[in-house]
Amino acid sequence: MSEIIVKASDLCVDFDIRSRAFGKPDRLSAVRNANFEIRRGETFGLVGESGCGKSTLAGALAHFVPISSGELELNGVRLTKNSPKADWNKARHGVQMIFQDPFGSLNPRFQVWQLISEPMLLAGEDDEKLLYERAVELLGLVGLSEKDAGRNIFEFSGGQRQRIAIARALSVNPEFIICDEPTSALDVSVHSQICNLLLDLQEKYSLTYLFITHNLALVRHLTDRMAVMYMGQIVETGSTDEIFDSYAKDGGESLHPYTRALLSAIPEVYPTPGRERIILEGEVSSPINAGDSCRFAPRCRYCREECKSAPIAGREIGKDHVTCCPYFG
Amino acid sequence: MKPECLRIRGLKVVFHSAEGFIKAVEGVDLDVREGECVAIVGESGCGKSVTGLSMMRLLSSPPAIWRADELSYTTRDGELIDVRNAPESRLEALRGDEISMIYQDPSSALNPVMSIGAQIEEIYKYHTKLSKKEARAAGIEMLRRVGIPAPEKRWEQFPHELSGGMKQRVLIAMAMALKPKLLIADEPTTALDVTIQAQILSLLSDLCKKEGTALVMITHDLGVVRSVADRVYVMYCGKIMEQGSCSEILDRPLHPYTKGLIASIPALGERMKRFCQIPGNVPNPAAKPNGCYFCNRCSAASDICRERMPALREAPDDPEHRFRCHNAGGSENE
Repeated sequence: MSEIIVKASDLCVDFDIRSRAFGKPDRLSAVRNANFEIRRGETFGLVGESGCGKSTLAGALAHFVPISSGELELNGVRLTKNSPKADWNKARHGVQMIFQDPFGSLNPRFQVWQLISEPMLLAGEDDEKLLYERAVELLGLVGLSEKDAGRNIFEFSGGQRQRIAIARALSVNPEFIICDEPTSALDVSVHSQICNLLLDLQEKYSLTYLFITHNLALVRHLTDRMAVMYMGQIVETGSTDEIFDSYAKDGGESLHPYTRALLSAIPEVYPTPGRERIILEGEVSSPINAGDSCRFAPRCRYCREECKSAPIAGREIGKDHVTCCPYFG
Repeated sequence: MKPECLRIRGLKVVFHSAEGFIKAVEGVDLDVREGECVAIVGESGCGKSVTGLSMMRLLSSPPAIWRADELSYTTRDGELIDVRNAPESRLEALRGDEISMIYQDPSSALNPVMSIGAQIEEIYKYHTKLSKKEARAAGIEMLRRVGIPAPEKRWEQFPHELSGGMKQRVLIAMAMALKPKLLIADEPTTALDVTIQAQILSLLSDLCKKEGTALVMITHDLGVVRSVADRVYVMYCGKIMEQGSCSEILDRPLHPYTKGLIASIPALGERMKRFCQIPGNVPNPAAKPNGCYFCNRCSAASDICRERMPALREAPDDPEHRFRCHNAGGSENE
């Protein structure tokens, strides 16, 4: 088994929301008791609907969102709520992010080569000629050319901007890249280009990716293992092949009811014959002051009385396959 | 075949911008027949939304300058209206009553300082003679039909108190309130999550089937097209590249762009090593290439493709299926 690069144990992220002037503030638990590990060289997919806490979790790994409790092991450094900044900096070395919106994540006042080399500048490299050369090299790597180095960001299309964002992330030779919905702001015909680029770079530099998306089809083809999140809780983790194969085989009898509903809701160009489309009732409820019991229970068609009170717990149902539903699997 | 309720011939839209004239739509011919669902598919900037807006003459001019050889709408009573030069008051009476629209972003389509109820009431106030009380009853019934729980309570609430999916339901309720003959939905599910998208799509197509409403679905998602559309128009850079029945286009596409678009959507089946991709980017609308607009990204492009824009021609076995390509489907016989 390969080396573990990220390991989260009961990781929680809470936000206090003060809606009244006095009294205890409300607690929004954005990530609740997350347990998962990411191995070196793999692509780990994190899926869920908007507002389920995927990006917050990514933020916790990159430490721009503080964790509230639990433990995180990043690059072999154990981190908790009270870890000193030095520990975080040590652990974060070699972690980079690619954001969803290349129109918002790149500073329009910088030239392209400055954008790309800025992380190196922050890492202590200040020879301008060297920075420029490295930026040009990276541009070639992501399919752009040297003449783009001196241009401004507004001259580029969405796909090209995302390539620049990828080059920027690669500039400090990271081992682990967090991709937060890197394709969702792009046109359909450009999606595949960016995905292929990510795959090529992974092969070349044996990168580890955390791939956050709500597009399950991308998860299918890009990731080795995946986790499904619902309202701050990770409801299922397992090998991507196993989850999709078991869905293809029997409509996901052995999967968590939410994973099953999510898979069945994808509008496909070539629908699988005989596939039952599960249309979930209702909407995601509020995560404010939500507890430890199954948060999917109000929308679950198999919900039992215990589901509403008992705290959820992960249960191993196969090699590497953990579900939080006590009844399926 | 059912009669047409909307007929567009040679629609051209140009925007005047700092970079010069931008041709957003270049000669679109489009028909919508009664009760059918037509999908307009394309990437951002291809002119699909502009086409949708011009159907109701909603483009503000300037900056838009538009021309059409024909733009006619047949009302419920069989009256033929020339949308190009009908008086504004006549169109105003049609909008919201016979032709209605659903927009992409439900949060900006609703007025944040008016309650849901007041906004729905407006439709009845302008288009019917119902009293306030009757309008309320009809509106609440409509909210119930689109699956909003406790509609009496929602009636008093404001848009910020509703989730995205609920707001989109309210918009659908408003659009369908007077049983329109034509409903134009501009990316109605793009801002929503997959599970909510599934709810909204099935709701829309059920309602339209029940009321016999023709639906124009503007989208970039071919999966959505498959689940609702009867006929499809594929647009690229302001031109229709391919058109035909939904099954024909998705199962036997002829145009390289349609093929590429379909191939670049990963299926859920076996894991692929790489993604099929269309090389290059959508061209800048102010500087489109000579000849076929797709020629720079097309693997089958030949010299003629770089010189001349191909005409829309019929597929050999299906006259309904038309495409714009020099090379696909056998050589051109002019």
